[in-house]
Amino acid sequence: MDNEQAKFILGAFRPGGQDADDPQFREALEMLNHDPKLAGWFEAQRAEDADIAAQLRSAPAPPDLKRTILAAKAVARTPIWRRHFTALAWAACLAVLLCLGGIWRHANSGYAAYHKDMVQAVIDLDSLDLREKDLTRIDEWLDQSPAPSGFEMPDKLRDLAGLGCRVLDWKGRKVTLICLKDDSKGLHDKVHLLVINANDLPGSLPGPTPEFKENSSIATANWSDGKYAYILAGHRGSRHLAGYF
Amino acid sequence: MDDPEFEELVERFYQPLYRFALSLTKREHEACDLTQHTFYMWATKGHQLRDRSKAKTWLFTTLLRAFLGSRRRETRFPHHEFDQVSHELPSQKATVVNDLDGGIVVEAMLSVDELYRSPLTLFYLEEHSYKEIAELLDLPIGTVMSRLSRGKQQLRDLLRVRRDAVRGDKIVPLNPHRETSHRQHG
Repeated sequence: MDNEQAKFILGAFRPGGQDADDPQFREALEMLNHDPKLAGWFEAQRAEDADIAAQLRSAPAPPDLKRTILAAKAVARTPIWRRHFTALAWAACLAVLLCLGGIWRHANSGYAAYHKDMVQAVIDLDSLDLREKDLTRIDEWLDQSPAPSGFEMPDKLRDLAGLGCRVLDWKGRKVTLICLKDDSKGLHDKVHLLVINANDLPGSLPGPTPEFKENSSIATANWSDGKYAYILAGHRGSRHLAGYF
Repeated sequence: MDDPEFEELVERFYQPLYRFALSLTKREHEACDLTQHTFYMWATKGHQLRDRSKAKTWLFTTLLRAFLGSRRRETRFPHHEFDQVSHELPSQKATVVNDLDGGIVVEAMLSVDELYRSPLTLFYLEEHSYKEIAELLDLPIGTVMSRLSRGKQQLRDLLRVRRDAVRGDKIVPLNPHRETSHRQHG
């Protein structure tokens, strides 16, 4: 870079020094350290530029311009939905998501979802928290657990021998599972009673009269008493389950 | 957009914008109109600017576009420039003692060739770097540097004439270096 090129570049250097960090000026500014004549030229040029800039800035704008601009703002006010369009758009999206979330949550936390998950839990059942034949002891154990206890079982289920019980967790809610053994008529069968607090299940629950559901591997009887919702699950079909009521 | 933000922008930029507008229009009332129009546009459309740190660039660009738009309309409905009728006005007797007076600088700036005036005004307002000026005026950086160099030289010549006239207590015309040809902006 020669002297004239440096002058050309430094001519764009603002007098207030705002461009000091701009790499474009670095080489030209460094030349000032080695070229006193150029440094003198730059100093004079910068002083004159600073003077012109100050005088230009000191020339006042019309005194009422600012007031007029601010007054005009009052009539230029945009509709609130346009001024806050982005925020409103996000809010609308959020509302839709919440609605969808609510629908999803309802679909996934209602009785149908609960029933489906409990059927699967019975199919997958591989262990119990308590192995006990005596239903009274099972009741006592459940009383000490966070799961539902003290509920009323149909008399015919009370007549069965116990195998044990387990506390299940369904979406943060506790479910009592009691396994019962039916040796009557030489069946050597097992049935499973699932109990959950009615308040833990949003939406409509089965009524007090058992409603039966059945698939290829398992049948269920579903009822509630206002305080609890019950599922009785077995592998011998709905008709067999109906015999317990 | 909040009112405090609007008021803050007005406080911060209405004078630089006015001075830039004056350098473009050379007429005070048009510069006021342009400045007011710019803030009106901000009040109605500024909310669309996501990056609020670019408000300054937005304002200056909007003002420039409004000016260019108005000038396109003017070519169909021309009116007389102040300079063209200035001979009908009484000459101003310079009484300024200082070497450089704000009024004289403004006056000299308005007499600079239109081609150099916009980059030169923006440079002296010190709100924009040469790169930002290039972006604003849609010019290559080298062109901006070149116009700054030539514009400065022209401005200094004009100021020297005015200064000499003041020292000699002469009566000088408002625009001694009146350009004879109309060039396109940019």
